[in-house]
Amino acid sequence: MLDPSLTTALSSACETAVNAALRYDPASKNKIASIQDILAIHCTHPKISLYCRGSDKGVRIQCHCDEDITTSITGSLPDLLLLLQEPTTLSGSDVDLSGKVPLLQKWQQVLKQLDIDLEGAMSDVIGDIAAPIAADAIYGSFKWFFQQKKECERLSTEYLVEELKLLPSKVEMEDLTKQARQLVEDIDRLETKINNFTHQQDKNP
Amino acid sequence: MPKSNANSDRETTHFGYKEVPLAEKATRVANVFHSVASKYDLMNDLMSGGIHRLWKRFTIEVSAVRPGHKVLDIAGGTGDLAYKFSSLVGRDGLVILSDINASMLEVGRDRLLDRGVSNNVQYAQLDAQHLPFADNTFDCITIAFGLRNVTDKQLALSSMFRVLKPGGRLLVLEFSKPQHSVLEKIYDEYSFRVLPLMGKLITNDADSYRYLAESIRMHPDQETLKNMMDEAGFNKIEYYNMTGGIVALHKGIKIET
Repeated sequence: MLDPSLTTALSSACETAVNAALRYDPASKNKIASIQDILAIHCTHPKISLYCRGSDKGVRIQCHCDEDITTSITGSLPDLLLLLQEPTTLSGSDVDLSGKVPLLQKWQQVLKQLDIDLEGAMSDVIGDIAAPIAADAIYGSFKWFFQQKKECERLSTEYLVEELKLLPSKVEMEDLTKQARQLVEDIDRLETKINNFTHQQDKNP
Repeated sequence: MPKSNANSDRETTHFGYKEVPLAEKATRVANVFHSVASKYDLMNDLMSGGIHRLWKRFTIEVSAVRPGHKVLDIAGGTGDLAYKFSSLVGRDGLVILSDINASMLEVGRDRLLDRGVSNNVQYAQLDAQHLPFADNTFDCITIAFGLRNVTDKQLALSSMFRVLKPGGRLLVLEFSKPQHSVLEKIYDEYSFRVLPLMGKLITNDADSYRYLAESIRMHPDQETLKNMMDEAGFNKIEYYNMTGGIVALHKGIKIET
């Protein structure tokens, strides 16, 4: 178990950062404030648990909770982060859920609709004139980054499949998967037939 | 570690490393805190590097205090815990900030009033050994960095048990025994060399901070305090070592009526 001083420092830092951001998204802050049930997030790698609930100041994040937990999600850090990125389904996410699903859905909805006024936050620090320019630059950088990420994925796939022929194409892969699935089904059928045959032989020797 | 002779035939107890008559300890401790009250928070931040806020935050989390609860903060000093509890118990709850020392209580009361806390906090100057409340009154009792200054700790724990409601919990946050020998050596050097020097520079009072270091060494370690709580009647006692055991948070539940 990690030293509670460390986990408390982590939960405190998260709470401060989230609440500072929520000051620039009052709608989300109000929605979160109404969530009184406790969502437990158990991260397996690294091993740490955080407990979240709404409060009048935004969100309350604890590293220890002796109260009743409404919903728990358990998974590794990358899996939990993926859940934030694709907040629609747990299917295939390697995240286990126990407790009430609607609470998780509430949090996912809030995350999906999060709209932090970056420009407002920056104007508090660098002033009203520079803030829009800086905010535009940041938004532009994000947009460029995600475009480049997509483009990079597309180009590397093409290079590996078409130029180097290291990987099969999507169509080839699908065909291979289909054949493999067919083979598995055939083997299953054959196994059942052999079992039936053996069974009959045992009955009528 | 020298043992306290409190309750023995000689009727002495320890004040830091000194043996003093039982009746004298309270006055000596009071003098220490009268001396440091005005700069208590500043010194806490400097001495712990701000980590005392994390220890207190963890205490709040373990307390599981909810709206409507009644909380007694003993040796509450400048009101750090009481401030947080006040927002947790809400309008229907009650927090009593108490301290044996009038100067500390005054600083705590002024700080809470300055922060706009007034509707659900009351103040009481009291001795932890003889709590002036009816049996089964509080949902939660906390004593943070105060138990080591109490003359008869066992008597104080029994008194807390009495005023706690069945199902209520006692939280004792206190300096304890570091769990690693290297850390213990560094901590000793820091306590006996750096702390008195800081006390001298900031409050012009090295003796009070020398007492602080000595009283920490004289305080029961994790297991001893756990046994004392058990003797007082508490159940489900557990403790959390924080910052390598420099500080420990003991939790005990009152189950029987």
